[in-house]
Parts: sequence; C-alpha cells; structure tokens
Amino acid sequence: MPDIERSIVIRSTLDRVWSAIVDSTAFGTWFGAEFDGPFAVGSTTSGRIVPTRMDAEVAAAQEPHRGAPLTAEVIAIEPKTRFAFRWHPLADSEVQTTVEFALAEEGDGVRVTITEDGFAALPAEQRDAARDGNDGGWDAQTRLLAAYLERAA
Amino acid sequence: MSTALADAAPVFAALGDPTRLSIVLALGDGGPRTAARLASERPVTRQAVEKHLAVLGAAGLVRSERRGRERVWSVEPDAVASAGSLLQQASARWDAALERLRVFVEMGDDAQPDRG
Repeated sequence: MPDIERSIVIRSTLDRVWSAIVDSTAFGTWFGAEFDGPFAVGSTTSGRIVPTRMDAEVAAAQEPHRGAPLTAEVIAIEPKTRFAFRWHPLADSEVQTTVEFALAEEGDGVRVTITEDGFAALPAEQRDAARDGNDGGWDAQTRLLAAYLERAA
Repeated sequence: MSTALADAAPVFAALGDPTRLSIVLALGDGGPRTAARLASERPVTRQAVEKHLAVLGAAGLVRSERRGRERVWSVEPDAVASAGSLLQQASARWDAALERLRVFVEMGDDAQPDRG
C-alpha cells in the first residue's frame, strides 16, 4: 500500500483528463504552480508555486508559498494510463516521494487515482526488522506510527 | 503546501533513517532507556546512537531526562502521532487538488463548442 491513495471520477473524456494532467501548463493551472517546460520522461521540470485560480481558499493558503520551488522528476508517461514523478513534498527537506496518476475509464467518466509514496522510505526488510517484537507495550500514539509504517510498506 | 506539512519535514527526515527509526520504535516498544542500552541492541557505537538521538530530539521525536548518573531517553508520543496526522493532511491536500482537476476539466468541457 502506498502512503496515500485517493481517487475521483471526472465526467469527461479520457483524452481531456489525460491532457489536463500530462500538460505541465494545465497541471499548473489546477494544482497551483507554473513550470518552465513540458513534462518528459527522464527529465526534471522545474517550476514554482503560484496560487491556483481554481479555488480562492486554497489560493489563500498557497499565497505565503508563492514562488517556492517545485521540481518534478518525471519517471513515467504512459499515454492515457499513467503519469508518475518524484518530488520533494516537504519544504526544506530531503524527503522525496513518488506521485503517480493512474487513469481508467469508468461509466461515462474517467477515474483518476493518485498515489504518493515514500514519506519515510525504508527497505522493507529493515523496517520489518525494526518492528520485530513490537506486539507489546505500544501506547495508542505509537501505534499510529506502526500503522503509518504499515501503510508505507 | 500547508504550514503543518512544512513543520513536519524534520520529523520525516529524522524517521527516514533506518537506525533512527529503529530507535524510535525501540523506545516506543520497550520504554525509556539509555544511549548505551540502545547501542548494545544494534550494531552501532554509543557515539553514533547519541548523534541519532540528537537528530531525533531536534525533530521533537524523543526527549531525555537525568536519572541519577544516567541520561534516559523516551519517545515523544505527540510528535510520533503527528507523523500519522501529516499523512492525513497530505491526503486531504490531494483530495482538494483532485477536486480542482475535476472542476478544471469539466468546466473546460463546458467551454468547448459542441462538436456533435
């Protein structure tokens, strides 16, 4: 399971949804960013936070971060199916996550599923070793960390 | 990016190291203990454990107190819990972003001439 998995159904065509995601200008419009070039597999597209014009509340939250650098290292573009990139989701941190958009036609629309993974990337065997024998003694909050690590597995 | 996400960056950076993660898990599981004890349980020196504890302490994940001659380390449950809540916030951020994508695409469709 990835750290995060969310999805939505958009009542439109696969072509339109795909271009709204894989076109860096369109992506920036809804996400709240501007990029210096197109997305291309194997290359890193640099950009910066620009408050979205789609939602005033979100735009207000993004305003303090206006101009903050945002770079997407594109790792997969499979037309109308999958778009994936790596980025640094947390300001001033080396933490790097992989974001993936998966598209599939569903009913009269398109289901878009986004996953984000790698918030605390660890080789599974090290994580499992670290968690050995952790059945007793956890308090409720430490269990949250355990649950988080299981999601990250 | 929310302030909470930015504030949690040191927490994730700290947890991203396997030795540090194992220290947090050990303190959460087995309770407070000294750096020497932590070092005895893993293939690293006490000095290395102390460096890791300093990073974890700076991230607010652990704290220490003196007990007699020893310094005993324990986990900060609230900070650990925040790692979990951060993921909930990041999830909520994506929910909002997907909703903007939906509006962007569906409004764009409405603006397109009907090509029959």
